[in-house]
Amino acid sequence: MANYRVHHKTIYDYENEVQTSHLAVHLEPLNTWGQILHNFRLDIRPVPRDLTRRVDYFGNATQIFNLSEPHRHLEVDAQSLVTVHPRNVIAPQNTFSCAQLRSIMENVAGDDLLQAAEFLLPSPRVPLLAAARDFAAPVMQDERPALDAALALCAKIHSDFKFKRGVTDAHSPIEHLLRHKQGVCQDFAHFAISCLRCFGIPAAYMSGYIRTSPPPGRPRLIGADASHAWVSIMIPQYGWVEIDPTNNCLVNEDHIAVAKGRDYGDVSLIRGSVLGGGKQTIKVAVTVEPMTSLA
Amino acid sequence: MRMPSHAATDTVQVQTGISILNGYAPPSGAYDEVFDGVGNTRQHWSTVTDKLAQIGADAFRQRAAQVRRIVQENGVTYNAHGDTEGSHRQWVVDPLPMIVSYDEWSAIERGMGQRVRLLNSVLADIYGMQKLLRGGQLPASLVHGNPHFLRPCHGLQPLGGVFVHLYAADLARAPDGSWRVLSDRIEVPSGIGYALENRFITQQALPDVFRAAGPVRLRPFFQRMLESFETLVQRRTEQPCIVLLSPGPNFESYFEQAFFARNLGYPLVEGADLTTRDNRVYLKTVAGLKQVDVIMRNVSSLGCDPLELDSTSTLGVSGLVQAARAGNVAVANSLGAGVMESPAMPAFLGGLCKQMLGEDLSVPSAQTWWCGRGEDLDYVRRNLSQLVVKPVFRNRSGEAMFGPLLDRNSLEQLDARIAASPNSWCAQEMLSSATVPALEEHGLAQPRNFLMRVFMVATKNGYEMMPGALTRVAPKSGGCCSVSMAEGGTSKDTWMIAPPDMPLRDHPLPHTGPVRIRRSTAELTSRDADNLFWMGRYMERADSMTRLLRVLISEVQDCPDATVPPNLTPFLNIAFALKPGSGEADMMDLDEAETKLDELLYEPDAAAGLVSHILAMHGTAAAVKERLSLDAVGIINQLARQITDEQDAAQGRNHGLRLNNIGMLLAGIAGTMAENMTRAMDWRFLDLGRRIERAHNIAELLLHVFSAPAPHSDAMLANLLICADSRYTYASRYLTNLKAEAVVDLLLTDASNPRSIAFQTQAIAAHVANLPVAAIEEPQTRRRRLALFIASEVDLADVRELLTPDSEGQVPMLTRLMARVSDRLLALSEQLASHYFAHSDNKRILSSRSF
Repeated sequence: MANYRVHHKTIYDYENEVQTSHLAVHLEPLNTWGQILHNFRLDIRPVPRDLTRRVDYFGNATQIFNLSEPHRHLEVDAQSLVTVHPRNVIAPQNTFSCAQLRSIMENVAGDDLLQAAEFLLPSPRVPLLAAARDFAAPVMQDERPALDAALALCAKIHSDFKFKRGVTDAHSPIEHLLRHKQGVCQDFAHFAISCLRCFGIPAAYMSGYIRTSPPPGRPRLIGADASHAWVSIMIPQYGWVEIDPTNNCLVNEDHIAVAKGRDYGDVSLIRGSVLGGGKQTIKVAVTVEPMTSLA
Repeated sequence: MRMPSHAATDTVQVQTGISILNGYAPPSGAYDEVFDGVGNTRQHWSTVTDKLAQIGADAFRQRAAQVRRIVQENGVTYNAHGDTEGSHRQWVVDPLPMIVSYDEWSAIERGMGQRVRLLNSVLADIYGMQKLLRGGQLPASLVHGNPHFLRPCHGLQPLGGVFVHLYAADLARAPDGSWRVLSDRIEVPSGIGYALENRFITQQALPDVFRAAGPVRLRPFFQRMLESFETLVQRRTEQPCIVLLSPGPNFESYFEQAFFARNLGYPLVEGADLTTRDNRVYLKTVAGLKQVDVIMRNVSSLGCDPLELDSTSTLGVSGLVQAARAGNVAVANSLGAGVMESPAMPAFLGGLCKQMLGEDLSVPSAQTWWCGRGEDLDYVRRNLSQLVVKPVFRNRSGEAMFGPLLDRNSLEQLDARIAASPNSWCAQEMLSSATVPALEEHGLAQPRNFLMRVFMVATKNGYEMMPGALTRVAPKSGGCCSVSMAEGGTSKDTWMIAPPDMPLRDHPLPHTGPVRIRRSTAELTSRDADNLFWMGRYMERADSMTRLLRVLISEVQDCPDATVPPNLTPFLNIAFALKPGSGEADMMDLDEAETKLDELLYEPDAAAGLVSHILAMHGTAAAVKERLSLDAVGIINQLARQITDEQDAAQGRNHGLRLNNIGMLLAGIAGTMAENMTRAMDWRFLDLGRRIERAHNIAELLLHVFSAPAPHSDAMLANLLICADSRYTYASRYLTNLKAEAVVDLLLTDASNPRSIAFQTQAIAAHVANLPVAAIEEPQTRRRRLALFIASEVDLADVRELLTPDSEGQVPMLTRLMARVSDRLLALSEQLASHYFAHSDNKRILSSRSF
């Protein structure tokens, strides 16, 4: 069990006055099996007159608000207190084979699997690319246990692509990663999802954080000073199992999940439309602080 | 009489006295609308066929030619799909109507009513419990994989379960005479405006036939639509605000949206005219923000809210989905209803109808196969060459493919694509649809395939169908495949003829109580005010340029010398945008001046030329079309057409004729507007633009003429009076005695002369005093003070004093005053713009990212 205090602050500065802006944020961590959200606090400056919290189609909390007074500076400050429980231990070798999983999903019945089936379809930012299929084919053999295959895929992505900022941007299609062999966690996650869906494995995009300071003797994780993204796959025997292609690992106690969607577009941390403002600069600060107690 | 030009292809010799239907021979085996299998006229057509025989083919074709003129003058256009660059196609109307009997119409209405009820039930499930997906009655991938299934709208259940407020369907008639639904129009069902326009036009062209046949009127259907939208108003309010959300003039069917706005009396708005705050939607009007109750949208659902739907859309309004969720605004049709437009859906509607309504579909869909089902896939691949194949989600990989039109190679490619991704494909049977007589440009009517688009509206008592339709006719005979206006087809009015003893459905008038007297119609949006104001300015600018060119061109043509005579200099300076008193124009030889004047008269690229002013006026008028009278729109269209048509004919240019013609049409536009527009806010903005421009132009004229180095000659003063359109007023007072003080008095200070500056500035001050003042402003605003200041300064001017010459014989007091007035008018124009027209639209999308 691990306790975290997460502080995620985003500051926008505009060259000119913004007339009005509308924002929708996915910053509140999930309160779900394996993760308890004790406290969440969202501070916005300037203070919006109306703020609505709702639970979206995928079960994520989202806050929608509107700033109708002119402003040049916008702060979105999210703080949460979360406990993450260790995941059940699953032996990758003991999962259904890729072929079995595919045939189960082809004949879906029942609520859970119907929902999972939505994560098999191509989505706006994750087309089912032939190139993804070709990339994954060597590791995704039909008879191979699905989780074993998925972890092998993570390893292949981890070794074939280099983590590098500035090569891709938030709107880059996954072809960019393939072309440049470089990208960030969002690109890795999207690409892994495309590979998995091509082979009939339901795969979701997870948005969240990982702990900033590693436990003694362990390396610092990539993406720790920012928000992070990874992948969740459906293994019908066990339910959703999370894997992290950027860090080439099974997700356990180091990841704090904020939202789950088909791809980044469903769970953008901050999405908005702004009238006026001219040039903008963005500053983001994320700290994930492990805590011994919740006091 | 126009004879067939190609005797070889048009073998039918036209003779007077012969019906347009003579020799009409529908293909055997097909169903024809007019004649039954043995060649007898169907009963509901007999009145019309008799009339057509009386009229005769020649007279009928003359009427058809008239129709083409009417369509052109009314400016009915259709912007083909995806063609946003404004190449608006002319709508083509065939005056021969399509006729449907009452019995048949009633059966179709029942069938379509059942279909919309079914669509609503399925939508309620898709955006609710999704039991149909869980139970497998509807494949989940057709919903979850559909880009028109909008997850942010999940859970948004409209009032009374009515997702589909307006509905349209394309119907075709099978060879056995029964109807089939080819496609459902749910997202933005278009065509009602065109159907009505066709009715107006056909009724004008065939008044005698219309009277004899007596088709059921379409007007009451509009009343139904009005009532229908009013039922969506949730707020308790005296004056609910219902708006038509349009993607703007460059998009398909803008004509229709303007037509709706005019006929329903709702403001036609674009996304930038709306704003949301506190989970409510507001309209930006010249009088401030006004809460919107109902949005009748002509923008696709995805484009309606960049915050929660397509973030790249500039057509919608951020926060709309949230406002709809909060129940503060109703959107019709419901956001996301387009998910049911997938061409694969009909494969499941029959079964769903049995299950959900316990009935069979009374008007079946054309048979449809979804390749995601094994047996359907087999069938489609075996019969590919006889089917219409479509991608299941409309805007992905293009349009329908017609098996019979594909060669072997393309069929194989298509087969491979289907095999690779069966879920993405569906196919529809190819109907050899019925024929209807269609008018040809030459010769007699020919049998052509057609589709009939019918329209339904949700009312308190269920769905009602428009007692008419939009019939679209394929361009070629045997054109079994595609009937689309974009491909050169024509359209027809559609008459529903009720037997005389048949009591029509009772349509009680809705408001039986006393009518609330209203003095203003739709709210004036900031954008409309902006367009009206500039339309006024461009109108006046074109008008004054016309008079200036008339003077200059005739003087230059008559001039015996090779150089520019000095008395023309000030006028050339204005035309060529040179400084007052500049000697530059004097240096020109006459040929050069003439070439430059030619450009101003003919070249659309000449920035300050007459053509660009008129086209700018036409553009602003097009954007506020629904606020202008049809006559005004007609003349404006005619003017824009003429000046561009003549463009090409470089030979035989007659400057004088062209200018006279333009002058007359401009006067016609001004006159029509003055006589037809109510003196509401829209008039004020239009007239303000016009008055400001005119005052500014006269001030410029006076400034240039009295800055000229040469003493102002009689010729110069005479030309000044012509340019200011005051020659006859002057002559009636002073005969031919041209005196500067009398001229300046008439053009500057005489408030009784509608061409004087004083007349304009007083009108401007009165308009500005009547414009709305925001609650947070001081009542005596800067713009009001400025308008008053200009009017007073002109009012107090002493003409003799202004004309006192200085040591160099100049009149600096007058020229300085004119320069001041001119600058202040422009400043006023800017103040009006920043207060009333501000609707900055540089929207941008914020995003953040994960690493």
